[in-house]
Amino acid sequence: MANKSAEIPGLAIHITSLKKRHGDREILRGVDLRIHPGQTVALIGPSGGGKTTLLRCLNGLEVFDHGSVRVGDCTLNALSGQSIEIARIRRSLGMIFQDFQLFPHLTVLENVAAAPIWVLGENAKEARDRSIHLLDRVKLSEFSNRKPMQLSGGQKQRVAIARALALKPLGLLCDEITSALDPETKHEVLAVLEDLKRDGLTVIMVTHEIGFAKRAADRVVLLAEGNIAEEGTAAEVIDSPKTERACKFLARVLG
Amino acid sequence: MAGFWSLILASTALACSFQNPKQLRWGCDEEGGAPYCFLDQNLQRVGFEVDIVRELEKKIGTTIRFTQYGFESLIPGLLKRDFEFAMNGLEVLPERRKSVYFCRPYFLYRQQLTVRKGETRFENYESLIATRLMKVGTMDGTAAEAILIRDGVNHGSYSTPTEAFRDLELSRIDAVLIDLPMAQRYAGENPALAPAGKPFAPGRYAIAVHPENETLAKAIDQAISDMINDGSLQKILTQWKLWDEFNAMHLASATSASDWQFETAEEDAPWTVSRYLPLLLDGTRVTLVLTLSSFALALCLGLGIATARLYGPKPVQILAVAYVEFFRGVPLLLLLFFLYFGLPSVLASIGLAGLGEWITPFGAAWLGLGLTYAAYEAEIQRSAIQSIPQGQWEAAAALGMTRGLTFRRIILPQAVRIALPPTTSDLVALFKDTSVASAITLLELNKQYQILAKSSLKFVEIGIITAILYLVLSLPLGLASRALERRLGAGHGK
Ligand SMILES: Nc1ncnc2c1ncn2[C@@H]1O[C@H](COP(=O)(O)OP(=O)(O)OP(=O)(O)O)[C@@H](O)[C@H]1O
Ligand SMILES: [Mg+2]
Repeated sequence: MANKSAEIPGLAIHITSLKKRHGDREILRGVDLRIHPGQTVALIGPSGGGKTTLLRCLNGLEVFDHGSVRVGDCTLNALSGQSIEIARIRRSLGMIFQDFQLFPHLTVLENVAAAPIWVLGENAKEARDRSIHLLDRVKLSEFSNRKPMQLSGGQKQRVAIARALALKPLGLLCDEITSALDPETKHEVLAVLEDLKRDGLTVIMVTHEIGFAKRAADRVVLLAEGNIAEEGTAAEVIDSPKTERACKFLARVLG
Repeated sequence: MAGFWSLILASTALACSFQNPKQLRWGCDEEGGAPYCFLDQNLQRVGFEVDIVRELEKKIGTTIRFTQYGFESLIPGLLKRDFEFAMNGLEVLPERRKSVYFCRPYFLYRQQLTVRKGETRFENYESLIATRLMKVGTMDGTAAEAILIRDGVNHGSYSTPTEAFRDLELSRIDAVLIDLPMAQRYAGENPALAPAGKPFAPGRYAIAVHPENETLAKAIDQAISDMINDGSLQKILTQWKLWDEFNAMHLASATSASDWQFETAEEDAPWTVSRYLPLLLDGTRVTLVLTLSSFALALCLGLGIATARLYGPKPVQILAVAYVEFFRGVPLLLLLFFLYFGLPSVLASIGLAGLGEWITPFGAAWLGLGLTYAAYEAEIQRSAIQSIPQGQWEAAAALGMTRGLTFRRIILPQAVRIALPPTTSDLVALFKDTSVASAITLLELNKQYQILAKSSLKFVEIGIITAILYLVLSLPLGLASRALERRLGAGHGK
């Protein structure tokens, strides 16, 4: 596993002066961020600061007003629905949601195999074998034939991760993927994420788990009121914040 | 106690006075009733029966008031005492004679087969039967209908002769079998139609009176005899070009008593279960096929309209809304009448007469039910689709699925499960609404019931069996969909 990260280069993500408004409210006010292949970035910040919006701009779920986003060799520009570029980005950049959004009418296995079969056009047998392998990795292979309704929250979120991995992405966008879980099940999910990090995936995770951010993230970015208030290594940002904004936020979060 | 008895006495007195009123009510259907009783261009009520009634007024010495009543319901109406006598080309049929009193006949009719000019496949009723392929039109609740049922001829029963002859001209049916007076009146001057074979199956028209109203029965019998003897009846019938050799020879000697030398013995065959059940089962089959096929149309069309309304460009959305509002607002009966009777002429006027020939009663009913229920289905499916959370669309999009793929594989399968319960009640409603198709002569279960009940007068007995047949069909419908709901619903949810 360890030497694999050298073989599979993660995805570089460059965000340049990204601006996004809803009506006359500016949600993102010119965000610049360069993320290197294989980095794990924790995105923290106060509620309403624009974290979710930023992630959604990266895979084209949200159209932005200014600036550009480069994911690998695909570039998205402001105010355009470049569907071909977006489709390519979505294949290399998986997304996992706070509320799972598994497909309730499909079994666990079908949830994972759906995109390989319908989007990549893999043959059903191959896709299922690979899906079982992925479920094995998140320790859920014996739940293959259950419906999502029959799973716990932590199990659902692990299925969602397997589902995102089924497209063989080079990066993952995780939006508060443990917020809906109790402390114990949180742990199962975070363990899976740490495992993925070893594969060399580029990961951007929005999180309120300061402890986990410190342990797992190569970089911590604090987004507040649509601006990057502070960024650096976990030690830099969390233990010795320089800006007043960061101090205020961390004081509230760490209590 | 005294009060009770005086009430009985008073009501008996009232009933008696009702049987000998100064004014008599005459039950009759003036819609399409030429030459019996109909409205002329000046909206005056005319017809040979109107003239006979005038003569009756003179001979009995009362005034007679016209009461409009549906032809098929004349006998039940008479038994309910909505009028004192019924006279409207009522044939002296054995089943009817069991429940009402028939006075002396005032006209002897015969059946006439009418075809399109140049018909070569058969030349009279016997050779028509032999082909086993022809469809024959007739009128609801007539002797001709009884003959067609008896001979197992594929037939359509209309409520007016106009509609029957129209469909003959449109080639929707191959012949019309109907009482001679109507055949002469409606087809005699039509260059496209011609009589086939000689008139046959003679029968009697007589006035029907409530069996307990003997006084009136005697008075009318006497009046008719007088009119036959003094020649006034012959004069009226001659004026209306109805007097023929057959009446000249036999009218004076005809009675309404059970046996009449010219009547065929088969007419007396009793309406046993084994005689009417096959006809009811036949109707059941038509109802079932109509239900399933029009529901399939409604589902497909409804889905198209729902998606057009949700995802189409603005003008398409407006059209979809207009469609739904229009078909939810138009009464089904009106729509079926338009599709069956109106659409062929619309098609002909735009040079598609050939297409009009394909509009059979079944076709029109299928289309009408399908179009109407598509509007309901569209609404059900639209709200089901809209109830799927936006997050499902986004999760699918994040996995690289296109909107079309997401709709087909992710949204629609979930929407179907949500739409299933309301769709099921929709199916049951459609199933019951198929009975409306009886209005355009389709021989579905309800129509078969009407025909059989009216000819046999076994409204209750056949009614119960028909209701059971409807239940037998609708119960499995409900059970099957609940089973489906359970199966699809298993494991549903977040
Ligand atoms: N579709 C929308 N229309 C209008 N305003 C929106 C829309 N989506 C988000 N916003 C606003 O944008 C701001 C940023 O929202 P966003 O969800 O990105 O915040 P966040 O940092 O993810 O917050 P949280 O930690 O609570 O998830 C919020 O003030 C929100 O109200
Ligand atoms: Mg958020």
